[in-house]
Amino acid sequence: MKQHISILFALLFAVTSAFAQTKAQADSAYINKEYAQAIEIYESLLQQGESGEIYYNLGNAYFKQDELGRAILNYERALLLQPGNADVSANLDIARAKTVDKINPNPEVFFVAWTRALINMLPVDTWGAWGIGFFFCTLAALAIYFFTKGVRWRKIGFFAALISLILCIVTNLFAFEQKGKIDHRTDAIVLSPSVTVRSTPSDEGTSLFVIHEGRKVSIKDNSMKEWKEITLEDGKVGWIPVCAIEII
Amino acid sequence: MIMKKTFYIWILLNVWMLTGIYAANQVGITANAPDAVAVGDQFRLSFTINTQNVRDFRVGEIKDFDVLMGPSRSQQSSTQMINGKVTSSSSITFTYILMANKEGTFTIPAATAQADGKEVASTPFQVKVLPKDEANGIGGVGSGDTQTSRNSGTLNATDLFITSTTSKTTVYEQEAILLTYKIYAAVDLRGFDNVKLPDFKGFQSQEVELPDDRRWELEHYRGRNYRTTIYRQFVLFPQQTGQLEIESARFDASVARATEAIDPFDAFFNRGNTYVEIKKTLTTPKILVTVNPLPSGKPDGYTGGVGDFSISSSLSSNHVKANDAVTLKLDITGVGNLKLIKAPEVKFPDDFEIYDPKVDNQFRITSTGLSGSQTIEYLVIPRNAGNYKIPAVKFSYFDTKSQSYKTLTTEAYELQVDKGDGTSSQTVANYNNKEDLRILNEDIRFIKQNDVTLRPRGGYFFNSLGYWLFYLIPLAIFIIIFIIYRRQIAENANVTKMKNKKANKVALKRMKEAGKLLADGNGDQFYDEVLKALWGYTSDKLNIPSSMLSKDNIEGQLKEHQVSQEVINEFIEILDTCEFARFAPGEEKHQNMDKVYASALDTIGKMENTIKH
Repeated sequence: MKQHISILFALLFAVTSAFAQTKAQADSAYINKEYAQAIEIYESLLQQGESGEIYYNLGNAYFKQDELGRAILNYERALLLQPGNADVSANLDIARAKTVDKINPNPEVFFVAWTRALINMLPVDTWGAWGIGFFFCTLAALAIYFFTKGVRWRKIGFFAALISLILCIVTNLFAFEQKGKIDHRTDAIVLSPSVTVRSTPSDEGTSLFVIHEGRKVSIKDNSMKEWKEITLEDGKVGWIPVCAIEII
Repeated sequence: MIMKKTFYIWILLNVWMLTGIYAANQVGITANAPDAVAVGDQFRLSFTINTQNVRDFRVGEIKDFDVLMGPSRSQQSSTQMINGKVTSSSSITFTYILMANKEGTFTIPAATAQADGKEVASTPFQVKVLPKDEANGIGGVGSGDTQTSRNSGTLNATDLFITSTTSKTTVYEQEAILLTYKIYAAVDLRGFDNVKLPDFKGFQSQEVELPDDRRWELEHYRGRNYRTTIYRQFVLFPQQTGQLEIESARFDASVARATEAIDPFDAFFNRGNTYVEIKKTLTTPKILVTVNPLPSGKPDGYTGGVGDFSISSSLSSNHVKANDAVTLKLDITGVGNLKLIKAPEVKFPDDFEIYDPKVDNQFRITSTGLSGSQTIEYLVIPRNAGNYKIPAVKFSYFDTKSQSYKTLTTEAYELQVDKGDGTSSQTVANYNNKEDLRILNEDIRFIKQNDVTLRPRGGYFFNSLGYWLFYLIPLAIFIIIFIIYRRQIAENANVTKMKNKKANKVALKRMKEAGKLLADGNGDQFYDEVLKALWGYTSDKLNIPSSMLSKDNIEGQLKEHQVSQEVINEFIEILDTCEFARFAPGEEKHQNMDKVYASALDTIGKMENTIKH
């Protein structure tokens, strides 16, 4: 039994150390401006699992290779895993500034925008941790309420419990919102240099407009295999071949 | 005015007679003879000494030529007065008439003489003797004489032509080529008009300045002796690659030709010859120039130079105060397309204020291109104190000799900048010492190098079983504790809070009862009821059991709850009155009932307002 455990530990250690080495290798390739090699290693790492940092580094490498579409795609993925990361959003802004299309998003009502910004401040698990924290607060406050005799303390306990409970529920809702975004990825990035959006899901459809590499679209109808119905930020709707885009 | 005119005439005469440069003050011997003659030609050799005090004139043996005559001696002297200033000059010329009798290049030996008591000598020089002109038999072309031809009216192609030659026909881009137009004349050329030169498409052209007095030389070319001169010269810099064509140039020449006189009058006035002017159009052949592109692999700092250059640099000062100007001077010297070189880029520190470089070209045109120097001055003003480095300037050019790129570097400089005086006159628009952050370049932020742990796709802690256990386990523990201690909790909740809340209600209920008894006039029971109401109220309100309350400790308890002394006194007075009245005789009982009732209600109201939890 002991032997088994030691073997297991050794294996685990080997796996983690090998993995750390390859990320370090990719980073040093990036520093030496061997971006193609860095991209290769990062991509192979992402086959094993996800990490916001690796998506971010991969986006940087693609950006240096002038592959704007893939750079934006990876920055968006990094941002999905690490919302509110200032470095990722800064680089995403720079990459977006280099794209062809001018983006005019429909204006949102301010409190919707604020709420969205608030939710996007933290990733799903951090919101979850906050939720647990608030739940513990609720229990502690209830204990104060139940087990003290002083009326003042009982009052403090009661209201603290109420507020913590509300916060616990809100943070859990936020966490669910973030989870939903990761689980149901509806946004996609255009990777073709330019693609014509059509009115029907076929090449014979009327050409509606042309969008270019790096544009973010959201998929409205995911039912067909070859074609997807997409919506732009400004509300325009059309069909696009699936090979031109990649889902974040 | 007249004086001046005579002076000019005199000068002209003098020049004509001496046909040499006349050195006014220096005594010396000047020899003069044509550079080239044909076999059989007679020519004049003269030695001029610019003083008349000459003794012992001697010339070395002239053995390669036949001396037909000489030396004949002639004297010139002149005096002139310009605005009262008298200058006089005089000279003696010894002249020989020589005839060339064989081909070759021969040396005329030096002449010596005692002039003004000093020994002077001429420098020996060479005369080229060309073969006889085959086409024209005897005579040939005499220098300065016109050639006469028997068949007048027409002009052979070989009589007058212009050649255009280039120094190279295969060059690199930007490499200089010399294009020469040379006149070959065996006839009396009077002049050109309607000259049409090509427009040098694909080249950058620069005309070579030729001396104003064109020298005609005798040259033997294809069996004939021609008088030749360089008409015009251009330095061309090819700007394109490939086969470039220099188009033909066109000249309309007018030639004077003597005809045999028929008219005796004409013959008399024109010394037996009549001149007719013949027009002839001359064209030069086209020239093809192959321009090769510069080889690939242009180094950094290549600014378009082709040729052979060297570079030097100097910094005006390496220790200045802030806001003082510093000049970096680059000197590019050499031969090549100097004019087309762009100023090399100097990477000054970003904090410096950099002005456009000032370029000063000093060059002359030579057959290999522009030769000279280009001085580039970079003016910079360091705005802040500190130690700065001005890196070495790299200057690359294509060396036409070795046909490869060469890179020259100047030295790097250290510049120490002290704090400026801070006077406002020195700084430009220095309203405030703060300056906006200058964004030099925008780039993405750097990668993250920390170790990370990879998580499976969609694998997160939230909403997992573990996550919910964090809720369930504490909740379960809490509920168990709740159940265990539920009695105490219930006590805590009911006894204190409910009693407190109901205290007022109970008291008011009792008082209402008391009010009924008051109306009935039932004195004993009324006081009883009021006492119960007061004691009950304080017991509930202060959360103290009735058994533990007494008149002795109630004052302290009320004070603890911040009831004012006034209210406490009033409360105790009511208690006293009630207790006293219960045992008082009949009449007195009834007298105070109204008053006690009113003040009891009032006190409870006041206490309700002050005792807050």
